[in-house]
Amino acid sequence: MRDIDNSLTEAEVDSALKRLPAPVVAPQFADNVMRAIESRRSRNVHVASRKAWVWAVAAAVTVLVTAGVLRMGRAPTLPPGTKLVRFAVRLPGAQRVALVGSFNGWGRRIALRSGRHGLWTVRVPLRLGQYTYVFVVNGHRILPDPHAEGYRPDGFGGKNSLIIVGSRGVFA
Amino acid sequence: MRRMAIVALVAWVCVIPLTSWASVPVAQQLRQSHLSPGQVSRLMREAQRNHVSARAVDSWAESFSVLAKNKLPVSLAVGLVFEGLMKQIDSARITKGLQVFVGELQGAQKTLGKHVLPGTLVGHPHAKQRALSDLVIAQRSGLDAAALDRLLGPHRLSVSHLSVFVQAAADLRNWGMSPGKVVRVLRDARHRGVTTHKLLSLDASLARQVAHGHKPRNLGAQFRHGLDLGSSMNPGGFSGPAGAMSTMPGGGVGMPGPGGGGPGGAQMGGGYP
Repeated sequence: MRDIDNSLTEAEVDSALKRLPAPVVAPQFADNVMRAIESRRSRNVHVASRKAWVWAVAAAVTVLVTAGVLRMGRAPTLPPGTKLVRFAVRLPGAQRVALVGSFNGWGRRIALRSGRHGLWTVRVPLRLGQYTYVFVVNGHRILPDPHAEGYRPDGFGGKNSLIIVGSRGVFA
Repeated sequence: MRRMAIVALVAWVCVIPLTSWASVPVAQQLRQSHLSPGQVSRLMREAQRNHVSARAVDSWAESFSVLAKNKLPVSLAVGLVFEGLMKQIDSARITKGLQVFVGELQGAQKTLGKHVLPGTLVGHPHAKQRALSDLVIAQRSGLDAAALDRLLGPHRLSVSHLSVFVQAAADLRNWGMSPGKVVRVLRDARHRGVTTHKLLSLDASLARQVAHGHKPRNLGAQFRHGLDLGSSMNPGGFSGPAGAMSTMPGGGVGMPGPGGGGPGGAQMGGGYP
């Protein structure tokens, strides 16, 4: 078998190529090729960016789920000088019960959740101090806590319940 | 067209303050009575919601001004108004209650000035506010200025010390002890140098008993015994401040509140269940 590379000279190859017919190429051939390359490149970039976005969402979900699992069963951290106070009242016939008091400047009503046997409860984080409060039954009836630690006249002829968070004498 | 829209917008912006409730003189007076902008807007909003007349709000603003001029905490009176509005109390009753409260605060200020060490008030506005509030509560429970003068004695106390004695006095009155007896017991306690910690512990213990439905029997004797003041009367079965302390919070157990053993009440704990 003869080695082709060694048998042809450069001049022979050139003359052979010149004898070949010229290739028929469409006028926009180069443009079409370049356009095809460009579109493929942009599609690749789009897919890559979408992949990054999906990965970011997946990572965020993983972090949230992990944090949620770790937090489960553990008490949330309360700010220093704050205690979680449970308010409860037994009102079997009530439609809704809310709590309001000096701890939030007699502002927003905090809804209690109904439990078994007409027991309504809520947990509220409170800073150490003394507070007066009442329950609001069915949106209009004012009811002092029947099992409060104490009572204070409200200045309008009624009375408020007293809750002392921490020890007595601590200023709110 | 564009120019007309701009003119309309400018006119609208100018008209808003003229028609809004917040622009009436009463709002300006509220702002001048040391109320914060937030308090003014909330008060105006809630007054409107409760259909309170501007005249009634005007009289409230006057009461706030009186307090501000006398260097008394306006926030206590504002809180009273918010409480009245929340309870949907008639505006006339709120006005009356506020006027009475202003008088009570002025009386409390006189008592405070007579019995507290001035240095302990400097830089402690909350302590002063609390002491004034405690003195008002004591007055409402039936201890007049003369009784409070006898109870607090001739020697000046720190503001926190005064608060503790006044709180205990109001509680004893609310549990049914006569004003004369309250003054005698607490004056003795002060003379014997009973610590505020011991007094507070005993007070808290009695409060828990009351909350559980056990009204203290022979309260005077229990109190004297609890404070080691000595008494010829039968001290009864009260466990004293040491017993009271055993239920204080610790190690995540939480302090059983008044409703801990029953269906209602409030209960303190260290965290969520």
